[in-house]
Amino acid sequence: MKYSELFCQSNYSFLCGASSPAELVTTASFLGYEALAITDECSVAGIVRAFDEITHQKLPIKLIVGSYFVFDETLSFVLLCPDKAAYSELCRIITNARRRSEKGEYQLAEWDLRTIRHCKFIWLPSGKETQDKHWAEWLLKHPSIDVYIGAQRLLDGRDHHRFAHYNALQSTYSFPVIACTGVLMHHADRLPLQHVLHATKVHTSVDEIGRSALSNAERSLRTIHKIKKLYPEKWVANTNALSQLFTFSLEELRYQYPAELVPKGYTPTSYLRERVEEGIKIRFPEGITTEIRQTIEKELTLIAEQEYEYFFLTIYDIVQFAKQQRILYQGRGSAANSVVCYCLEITAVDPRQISVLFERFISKERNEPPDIDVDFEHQRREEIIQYIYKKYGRERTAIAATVICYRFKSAFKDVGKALGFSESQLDFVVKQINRRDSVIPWKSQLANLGLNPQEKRVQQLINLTESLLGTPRHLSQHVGGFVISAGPLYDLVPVENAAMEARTIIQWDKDDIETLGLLKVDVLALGMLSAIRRAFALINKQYPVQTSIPFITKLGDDKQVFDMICRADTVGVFQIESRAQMSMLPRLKPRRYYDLVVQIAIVRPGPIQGDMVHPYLIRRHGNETIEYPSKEVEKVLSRTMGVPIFQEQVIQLAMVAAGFSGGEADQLRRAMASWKKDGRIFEFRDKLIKGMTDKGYDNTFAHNLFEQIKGFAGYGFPESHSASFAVLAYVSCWLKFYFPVEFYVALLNSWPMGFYTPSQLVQDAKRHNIHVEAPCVNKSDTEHTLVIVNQEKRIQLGLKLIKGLSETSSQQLVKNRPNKGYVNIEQLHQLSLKSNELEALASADALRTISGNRYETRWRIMDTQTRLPLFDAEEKYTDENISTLNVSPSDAENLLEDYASTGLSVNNHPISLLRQQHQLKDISWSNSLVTKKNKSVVKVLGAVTGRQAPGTAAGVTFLTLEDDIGNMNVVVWQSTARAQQQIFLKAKLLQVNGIIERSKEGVIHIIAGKLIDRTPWLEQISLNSRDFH
Amino acid sequence: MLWAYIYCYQLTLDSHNRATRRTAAHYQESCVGANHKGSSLPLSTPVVVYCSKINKIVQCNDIAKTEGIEIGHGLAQAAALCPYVHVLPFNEENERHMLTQLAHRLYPLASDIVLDSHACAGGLAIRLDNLTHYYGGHEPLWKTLTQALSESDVRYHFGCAWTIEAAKVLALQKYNTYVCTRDDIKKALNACPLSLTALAPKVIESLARVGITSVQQLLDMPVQELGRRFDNNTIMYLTALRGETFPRVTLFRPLERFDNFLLLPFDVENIQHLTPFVTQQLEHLSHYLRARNLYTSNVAIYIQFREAPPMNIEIQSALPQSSVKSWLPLFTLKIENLVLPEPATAVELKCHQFEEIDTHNGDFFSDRFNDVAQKQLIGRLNAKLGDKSTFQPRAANSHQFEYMTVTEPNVPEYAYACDTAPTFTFDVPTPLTQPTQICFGPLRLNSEWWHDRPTKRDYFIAQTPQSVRLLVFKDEESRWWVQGLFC
Repeated sequence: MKYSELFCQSNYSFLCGASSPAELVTTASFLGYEALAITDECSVAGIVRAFDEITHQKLPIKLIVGSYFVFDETLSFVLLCPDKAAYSELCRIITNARRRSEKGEYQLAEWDLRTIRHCKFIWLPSGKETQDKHWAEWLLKHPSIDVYIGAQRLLDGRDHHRFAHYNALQSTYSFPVIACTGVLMHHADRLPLQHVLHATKVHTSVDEIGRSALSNAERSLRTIHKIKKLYPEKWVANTNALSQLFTFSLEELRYQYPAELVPKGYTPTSYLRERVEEGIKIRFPEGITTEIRQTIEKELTLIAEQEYEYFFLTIYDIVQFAKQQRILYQGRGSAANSVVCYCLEITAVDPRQISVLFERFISKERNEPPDIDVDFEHQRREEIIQYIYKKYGRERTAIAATVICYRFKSAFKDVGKALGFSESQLDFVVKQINRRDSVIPWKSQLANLGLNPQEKRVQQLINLTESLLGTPRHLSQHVGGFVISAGPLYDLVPVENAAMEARTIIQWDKDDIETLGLLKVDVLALGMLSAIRRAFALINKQYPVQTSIPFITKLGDDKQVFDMICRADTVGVFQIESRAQMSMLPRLKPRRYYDLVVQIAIVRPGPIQGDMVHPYLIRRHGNETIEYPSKEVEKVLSRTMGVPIFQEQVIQLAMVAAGFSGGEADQLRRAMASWKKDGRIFEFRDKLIKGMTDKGYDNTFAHNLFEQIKGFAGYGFPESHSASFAVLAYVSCWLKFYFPVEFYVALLNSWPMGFYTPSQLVQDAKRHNIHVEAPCVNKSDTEHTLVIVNQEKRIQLGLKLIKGLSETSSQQLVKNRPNKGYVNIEQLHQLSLKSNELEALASADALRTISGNRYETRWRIMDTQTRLPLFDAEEKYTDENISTLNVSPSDAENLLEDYASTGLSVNNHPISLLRQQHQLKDISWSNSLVTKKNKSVVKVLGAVTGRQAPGTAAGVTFLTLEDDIGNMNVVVWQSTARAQQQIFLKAKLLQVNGIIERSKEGVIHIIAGKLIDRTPWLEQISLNSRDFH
Repeated sequence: MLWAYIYCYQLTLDSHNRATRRTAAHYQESCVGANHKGSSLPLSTPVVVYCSKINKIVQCNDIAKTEGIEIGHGLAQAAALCPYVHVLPFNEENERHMLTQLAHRLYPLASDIVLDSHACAGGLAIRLDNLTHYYGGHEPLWKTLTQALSESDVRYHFGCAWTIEAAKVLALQKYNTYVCTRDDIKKALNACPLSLTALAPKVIESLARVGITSVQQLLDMPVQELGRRFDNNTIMYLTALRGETFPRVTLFRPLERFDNFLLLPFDVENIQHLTPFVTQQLEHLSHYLRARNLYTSNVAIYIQFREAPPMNIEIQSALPQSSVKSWLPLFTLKIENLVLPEPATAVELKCHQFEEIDTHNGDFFSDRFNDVAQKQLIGRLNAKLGDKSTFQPRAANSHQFEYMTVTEPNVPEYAYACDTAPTFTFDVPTPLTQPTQICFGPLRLNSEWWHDRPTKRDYFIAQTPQSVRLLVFKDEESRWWVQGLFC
């Protein structure tokens, strides 16, 4: 006997279906079903997963695409797609229903039903006679709809009633009856999970769900034998007959790229070639070597074979727009491995500088679309998005979805709530569980947190949490992955509203897009690009030579810039500015571009957990000979001194050393990316180790490699990615060294971005002997500017820094500023600025050139009577008016006001004030540490600006102390922190008595001994530390 | 005018300490020689009161302070500083209850009391100037009041000044000195920072940003200058602070019913362990009734929990009573069969109906059958036998036939929730022993996996040769059982 299930919801029917599409198709196939329809509620989000599983596992089952809808309380139905036309129709109906509603909701209209022409309509009668009669008659009036009655037998005590009702409807209206289940689970074992999901959906606990829950597990995939016993033969025969009509497969979806990109008279191939040839002239003005020519030809041939020309041309078009608009951009990711991308000006990495391997970008064997991520200036990315919408229209453009799945915390909490645990207890437990603890698994930790793992309900909590992990929760918006098509996108995939206004997303995520071979364009935002573009604009205004990224990279590796990098003088630059990167710089001593590529990739949890950093440093300094187990391995690892540092190297090692095929290596790559989610990486463990030992490699080498792969998973950095980042890192360092004022101005104007606050950036600028002027109503623009005073470049801080002053008001202030500047407050009053904005200006001391001290000025502005029209300007601001306040701020109060108004002070540092007030003779300041002997005892004092406790550092906390001269790095061992916990956690101003530890490379750390809380000295001076626990 | 402001800065903590001491004493008395320590905390435990609304510690005992915990810390910081700290949740309503109880206690001594309960702490203002001549001067009056306060075992700071507003600033400043002359009050106020005033935070910030940070600076400023810069509310407050105006206040009036709230020093899991706390409450009630020459026949005890709604235990007595001895056995009977849904955090005793003692209701035996009405009978039965002793059927929200018909006292409706539900359902199914014929089914139940005994059954309606319809089921081991009977 044959059977096809035509009504089945996967876990993409959020909080309803309890099995994944893959589990459903695998089980249905195992049970011998001929076909399975995945019919999620107003969604096709799960079908690609089912399709992927069938294709990969070569399952002998047909996938039918459909969707379940609830029109209202009286009508629910399933639409199934027999052909491509029906699929497009379904996508249109879902799109319309979704677009009418808020994110995550849908609203069908009767019009949607009337327009059904191609889909098969499986009506699920409600069982209420009057309503069903109404809808049966309505459906009869619309003969274009091919109606079937979907009969469900659920053994819930109502089957007799239902069957009688189906028979009555069939005999009255002649709609054929088909058998269906309405599957929600692939196996009856999933019933508890389904109950938990349902309880979560209705915001209650399983104890309370009562009759709204499923009474049994009959809504699972049942054996065909059982189906035969449950349904009349005729109905099953009808089902099978209907299922024969479905011929549509997702393979039929042919994605058409917008054709308008290719001018008349060109083929996509010829046009792309022409663009590349044009690019060669720009990128290689001196001509190209035979080797590069060969690479380009090879790439172009492969692109033509795979028909990816439109994809390259689309991105080319977008970056050309960015170029025209002077929006800085840079391609990254595996695209950096392509010379064609370099010639099309998509990427900036000169192929001569890194080991280019185009196969990593596009591979015939992998047969997957190329991944080109382009970063744009974060402040101007919206212009690019609007350009895409404008050029292709909103019908043809949408952003890819991201499927938000249950992670540990959300799963634990939802299951816990459903099982009746109190929310406060769950909150407490979730906060206390240390998922990083590799010694005690989280389940065992529960015992110490008041939950006894022996108790049945706690066991249920553990098991169901495990089951819920990875279950989709809702769809969200991808950071910037656009899908653009030739025709309306809703013919291809349903489109729905995103949370952000005027944004729409498709129902598939990046993996689905990849599976179906669709191409997406990643339009991402990067703050450093804004800063670099701003710096270039400032420089180009002053000098005839046009500075740009290619201009700087072409100058080659600059010794002085690398000297600065080796000194770790990298506050504010791209990527190598963090505390961990800065402490590595003097050790790794980068001297050329490729060293930066390594530097960026090596300070990552992947290489650190894989124990690759130390061996690399030893070998780099020539303290250890490098031996390779084979020539193949040498080829892969020689550029990184025999230590695998990049993700690509690990993949290549799997291929050359363990004999993985390209396809297997690709699966390994995917498993690496998601091993925390599904642990699929362990499927490869034995194969990898056996493959290597078979090839004669040492067993230890094989095990080590697997551990390294695990370490990389999720955190590994691809070389191509690092190469692109290294360009920006180098360019930002170059700017910082040669044009520091322009660099800081650009950085401050691009803020928020990067690792440091404006206050820290200004402190760094001052350490580089740059004069910084506080905001002033007569000197500042809205933004920060570069000013030249006595032939000296200075930073003039802008009015945007003043808290409480709107951008419009500051623009108004600048626009209406008289040539000689404002001379009294009344002129500012006349600009109709709000009084609180004037007060903000006064407190920031921005009115210092036209009024008295900031207290008096604010006091005068606060006076509401002087704003009355009967007072004239002179009368308003007589000395008598201000005499009531006889207070002038002290240095400390000025500093306090600076921080309160602008978040920084250009005139003073809290530590310099403290130096005046306290006897601090025995304190060593940051600039004097270099003169101290290694291992000598020192006392240092500073504001705590950072507490960093990386998971990779085994309980050590790195404190950053800032004094008025510079930063100091303090290492606090776990035992020290525990012994002096109060001070360690609370102090904002800290004195550390410790021992200097200076590495061979000159990196200075203070190993904390005694911690003394000096916060009371600060009193009101508020310096918030950035804690990273 | 002269007002004293009593700032009770740790009412929750005080209540906790009192109850802890009492429990310790109770166990010492009742369990001498037995190795039974109860579940109370030692007094040396660091204890903090945490307000989740603002995520701050709002009260902490001295032991917690020595561990480095300070008021204003977040819970995470407190837990990091002292992992074994005992955390009590802050409940605004509970604090108000405790403040009201204190006011009740002081009311016989001072008539003009103003309750001032705000976000995280509360206080009482007591007008003193109109009482001095009753007490024969400032000193005896103040002595009487402080005596009552110390008997209440409440920790406080106080201040005295010409208005409540000014007295409160001094109390917050922990001035704790009785002053009654204008100069002394002014001097004391001058030393206070502006942050202690009740000015809006925005106003305080505005003033700080022109360098005015102390009350003295503010009081020295001409009012008209301030009037040009701040709104009326601010100016009104300032004049009250100066003692130039006296804002109208609502005086405390004691309740005409008994309502006593007690925060438990620790979470009590076993209802039997609530007895010492309820006894304490009943003692208060007994004092209250005797002072007024009243009796009552109805007492309500509310047990409060962290998450679950409060449990209401109504105790009715056929005879009006007042003594602890009479009420306690009824309470003990009542709770015999009760189980707490989760650990109790507080106990509240309320009494609304009182009866005066007169000769007519002095003898209950003369007409007792009329007096003890049906409801009272049910009440007494319930008290003796537990709530489940008298019941009526009700349809429940469950697939399980066992739970489909539940019982609840005094609910008149009776409805079937399922068309297959039998007229009578057996709590415990009986084995099917007679031959039957299936006439409906199956109805498969696979549910309640979260209970100890999950259900996996196929239900049928079966008919006996005598045409009796039974609800029967087959269990996982293919055994047949009768679950109910159709009439």
